[in-house]
Amino acid sequence: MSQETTIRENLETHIDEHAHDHGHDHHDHHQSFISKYIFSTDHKVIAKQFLITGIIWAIVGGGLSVLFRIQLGYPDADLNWMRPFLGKWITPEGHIAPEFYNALITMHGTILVFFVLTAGLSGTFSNYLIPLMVGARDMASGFINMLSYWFFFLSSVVMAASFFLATGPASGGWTAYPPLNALPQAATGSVLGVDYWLLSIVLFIVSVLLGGLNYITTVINLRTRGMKMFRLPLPIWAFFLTAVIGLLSFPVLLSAGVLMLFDRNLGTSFYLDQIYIGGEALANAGGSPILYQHLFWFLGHPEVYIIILPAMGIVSEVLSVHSRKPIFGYTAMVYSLLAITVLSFIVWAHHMFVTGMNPFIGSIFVIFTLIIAVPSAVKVFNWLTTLWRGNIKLNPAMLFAIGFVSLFISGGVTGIFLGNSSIDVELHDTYFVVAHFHLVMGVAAFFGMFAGVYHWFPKMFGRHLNSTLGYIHFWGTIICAYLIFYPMHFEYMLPRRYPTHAGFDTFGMFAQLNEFITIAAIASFAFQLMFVFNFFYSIWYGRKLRVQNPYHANTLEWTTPIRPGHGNWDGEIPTVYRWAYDYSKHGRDFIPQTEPLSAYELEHGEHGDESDSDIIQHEKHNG
Amino acid sequence: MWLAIVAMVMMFAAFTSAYVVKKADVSNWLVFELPVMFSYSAVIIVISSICMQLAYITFRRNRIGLHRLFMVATFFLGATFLVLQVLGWQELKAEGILLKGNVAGSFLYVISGAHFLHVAGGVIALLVFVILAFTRYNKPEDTLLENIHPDKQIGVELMATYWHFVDVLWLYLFFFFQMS
Amino acid sequence: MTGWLIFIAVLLVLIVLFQVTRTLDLVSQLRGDDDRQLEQNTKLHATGLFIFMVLGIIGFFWSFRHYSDTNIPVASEHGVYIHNMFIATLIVTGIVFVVCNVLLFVFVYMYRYRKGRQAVHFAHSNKLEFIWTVIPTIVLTGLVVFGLQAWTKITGPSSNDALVFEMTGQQFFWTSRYPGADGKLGLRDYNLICPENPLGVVTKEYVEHRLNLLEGNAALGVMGEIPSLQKRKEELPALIANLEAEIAKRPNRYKKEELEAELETLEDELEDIDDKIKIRMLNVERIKNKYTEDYYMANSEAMTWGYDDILPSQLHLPVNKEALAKITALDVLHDFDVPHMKVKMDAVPGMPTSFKFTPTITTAEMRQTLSSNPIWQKVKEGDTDPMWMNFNYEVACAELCGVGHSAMKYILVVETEAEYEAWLAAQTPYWNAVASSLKISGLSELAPRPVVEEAASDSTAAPAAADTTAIAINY
Ligand code: HEM
Ligand SMILES: [Cu+2]
Ligand SMILES: [Cu+2]
Repeated sequence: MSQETTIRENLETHIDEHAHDHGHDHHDHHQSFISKYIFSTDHKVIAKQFLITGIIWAIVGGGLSVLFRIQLGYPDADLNWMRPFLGKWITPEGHIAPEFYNALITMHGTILVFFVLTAGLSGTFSNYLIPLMVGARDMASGFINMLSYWFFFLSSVVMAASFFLATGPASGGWTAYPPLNALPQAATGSVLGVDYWLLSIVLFIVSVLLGGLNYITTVINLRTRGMKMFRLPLPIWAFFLTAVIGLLSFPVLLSAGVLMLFDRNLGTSFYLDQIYIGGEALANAGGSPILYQHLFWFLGHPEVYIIILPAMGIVSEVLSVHSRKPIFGYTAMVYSLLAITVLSFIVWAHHMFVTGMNPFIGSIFVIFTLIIAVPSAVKVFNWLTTLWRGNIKLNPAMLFAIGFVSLFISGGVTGIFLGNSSIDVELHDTYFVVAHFHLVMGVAAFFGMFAGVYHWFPKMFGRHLNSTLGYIHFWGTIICAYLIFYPMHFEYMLPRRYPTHAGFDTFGMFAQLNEFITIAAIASFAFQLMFVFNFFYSIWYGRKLRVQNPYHANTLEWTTPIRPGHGNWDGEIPTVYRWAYDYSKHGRDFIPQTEPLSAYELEHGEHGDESDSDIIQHEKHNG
Repeated sequence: MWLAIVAMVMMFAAFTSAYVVKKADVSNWLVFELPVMFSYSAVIIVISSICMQLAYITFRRNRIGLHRLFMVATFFLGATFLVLQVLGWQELKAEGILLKGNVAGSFLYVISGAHFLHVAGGVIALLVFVILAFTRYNKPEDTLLENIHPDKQIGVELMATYWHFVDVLWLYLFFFFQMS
Repeated sequence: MTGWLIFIAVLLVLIVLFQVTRTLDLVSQLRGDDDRQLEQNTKLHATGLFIFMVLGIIGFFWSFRHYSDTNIPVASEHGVYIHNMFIATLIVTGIVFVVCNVLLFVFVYMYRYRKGRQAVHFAHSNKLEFIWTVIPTIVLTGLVVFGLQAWTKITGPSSNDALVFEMTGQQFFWTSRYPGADGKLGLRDYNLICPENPLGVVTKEYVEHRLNLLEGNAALGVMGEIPSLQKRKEELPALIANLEAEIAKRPNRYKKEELEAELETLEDELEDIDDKIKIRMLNVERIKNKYTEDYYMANSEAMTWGYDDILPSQLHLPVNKEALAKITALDVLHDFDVPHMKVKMDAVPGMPTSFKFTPTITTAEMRQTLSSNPIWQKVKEGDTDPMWMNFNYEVACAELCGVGHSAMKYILVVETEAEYEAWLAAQTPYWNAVASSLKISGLSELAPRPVVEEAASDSTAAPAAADTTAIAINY
């Protein structure tokens, strides 16, 4: 412990000097462009790197989905005009080649799940907010933090390169199940694309682990004076637990990937057994494709929480600030995050109910899966109560946070269907699942991310986003999201990952609906492009932020200068005396964390009835 | 460091549990004898771990001469371990257990190989510390622990932690294979 | 040209719109009264959210009516349990969905920002939190209990007289197999798969045939895959050299590229050919190691099960009789999916799985039901009958398996017991069709003689005869 303090003080003095050097001089002449913006060790710059890389990947990933939605919505359209970009992936009749369709959905899933919603979301906000909100000059190790970004960057490069392979990128689904992905003769994407995919994912795992180490260490060791764990703002709890989940689950994916690389390139048979393909009986014996699924989903399920926890954290903060009310049930929120963290590791086999797994084991996973719905429900109720009797300011950030809650409810309830193994027999691998996880994870996490971007943009760039465009963005996105994914539930018998359902009479009745969904998807993509424009335009030309604390928020990041330098605070790091959610307390609009408790005041959580007496007191006050 | 170790533990836990799961459902699971070299290497790495601990203790006590000695010993023992592992694989190969063959054999290679990489990384780090041990504390004022930058103090401690980790990991893997 | 004009027009409109939003932002800023502005905005969007909610809820209920025709009728016994569970869950979650969303948007509307108003500092309440932890727990426990009851019924052991059939998935089609008169499916071994034996059924003759195909047999005039590959391997270098010389001679660019491509394929072939030979030699080795005299002695009876196996082109099942699907795959994962029956089970290479179900509606009855459904009353392009007249249960593949994933359709016909027996009687064992083309030295005494002609005439015989045959098969 004593050592830790020494390190901390050391780090502080070190950066203090730095901050003093440049404190009054915001145009930093001492650093070259490269060390300031490219190989920077400043957590704020790294966060922006993650964010911007994430946005670029989001455009790519979203663009891919537009392509395959066109195939689904307009199976007969003549797409020959795309030939200049896509070359041989357009068939002579002008349709998207089925192997390319598979590559599109695979890359769409991989990019959005890993690159956008993991790196772009948790990478951005963990990096940006952890030091600012816990009161630290920087991450525990700025260098490792920088490495984390550059590993992500490398991984991105490898994944991007796979698009230009003659045999195309991986095409066996984002879950990359063997044998389809283990045997080059099984699909064009498996010839080389999967090797690129695996390499990219391995690099990505390294990036996540390096990042996670830093986040955890920073939260544990570098909190400022007075910042007890139970005074941490909820986003920090969420980022912290996200990093814990990542640290425990990603290495397992690494193992799974390594074994797959061996199977692909060195002739082992971890996942292969008695296979007859392309006129040959292969020598592989003794492996099991199901083993891979266990390893994959042991990461895969926690991964979905890696995506949603940061969004939950961000939304909790935004809801509280803009409704001018404390987040309801802070302790319950923390414990439900903890419960989700633990439970997320013991539900993975709910993705495998129909793999021929022992039904008894299946039933155990049913129980755990439905238990995990309880903490999720608690969170929803707490958010609703946070809004109750608030004074809700609807700026774009708040709208997106409210949208998040709505989408999380709508997508969460369908999890109850899927978690029940008998219903899952019917629903597994259909569009119902697609609707479920897009609402609860895909779109909801995006809403969390947007809420965060709109809320902290002024802090990040010292300028405001154009709020009219923000409002349009919100309405366009939420309406399109529901129009796309709500009707998909009615396609509950339609198998997913089909480029066309036309071969089946039973599946043919949704042609019109598919077209409708495609239109909504294209519209929604257009709204996102508008946001991207707003984002980059406002970085340089947005309205300037003139006040230090524009939202009257309690947390520490708003005590830094409008454009904080490396080291964050010009002077000493502020000391914390209370939790982050004293809004509308004792007749005051907000009480920052840096304000000491007054003599008669109780800190939250230390007294059971505080809330009740508070209300009474307040009522008197008003009455 | 501890967090990184947790991550590595998870990876090996995944490997070994995959091994157990596989073993349960494959009928023609190969029963093999672990090469003797693997038991020698287990002994070697335990000794090296003790040396590392001694190196750390002497470092804390400012006994720079002894510290240098034990660092060097640890380094050579670590390198020996690597050589023994390679010999062990050759022994396996001679017995007809190949990476490509039965899944049991494949697992043995992959798991011991992954461990090998971890040790190899450790040996490289050890080399760095050996060099530091000989270049650093030459000025008289350096020999005082208080004058050594805390970062560097931590370095030796981290090295020791990591080294004990790969040691324990190998013992675990060794007994794991021995049992099954 | 028009494309460009449209593009420019759209761009202009966008720029104008953007300028408008910018002015709006600036105006609000100039007015300086941020609070007023925020209050107005809040009111606007809170109302918007409220309308969104109302429309959403109307849409929610409307959509159930609108899509009622797309629901597919449930045609199996366990499908009903699943359906009931689905409806129960739908009601429970539907309530949660509506109530929570309504609360959300109503709260936002009711407690929207008004200048000078204060929010209530209400930080927690153990009572409330306790209630809403316990209620979901109880509700979920209920769902779990019912769900697991259904689950045990669905996955429980099948009855002894269940009708067993086998479905095998491979890129990109299904093959079904019924046990013949002996009621037993022949053993299978993936090493024996060949065009005459698509599932690798084990019989003495198939073993010999497969070995001959691989190794060649001069006496029977079979070249054999391994010898032909070896021969090819010897030829290839000369072919490549020729082609290279040809390319060197050609000045013509265009032709040259074609030849170069050809050269590349030849080179690739040469590169892969050793692997191909090796894979086949290992295949031979495995067959020889396994099918020894001892093996034949020990399995003499089991080796005969395969002779009467039937590989029909459609699945046929009798109504109201339990069927047990044994599901396998040859190459990658597939999934045996029968939407109407709510049957879904992965097909895993190397690991057979199974699913038992009881069809409850015959194809004919289902056609009748669908005849009143507007969707099925439509006439498909190029067809003359409304769709319901040609309705069939369709089997699909529900696990991504490659390019042809969406093409893995198979027809399932559910019929009355009598119809089923008639159909079955009309099927001939697969063996009969191929036995005469096997490359073997002679049929063993175990194998039934091929009876291709007789069987063919049988199938055209009067259906009245079918019943008696059926009984003969059953006993
Ligand atoms: C209310 C609690 C939830 C339950 C009971 C639940 C249950 C399930 C189940 C059983 C499946 C597998 C369906 C199938 O493939 O047949 C599934 C799929 C999925 N869920 Fe959830 N879920 C819940 C919440 C969430 C959350 C919060 C997220 C993400 C943040 C999420 C993301 C996903 C994803 C991504 C998939 C699909 C993966 C794939 O097959 O590609 N779920 N869910
Ligand atoms: Cu899951
Ligand atoms: Cu398929």
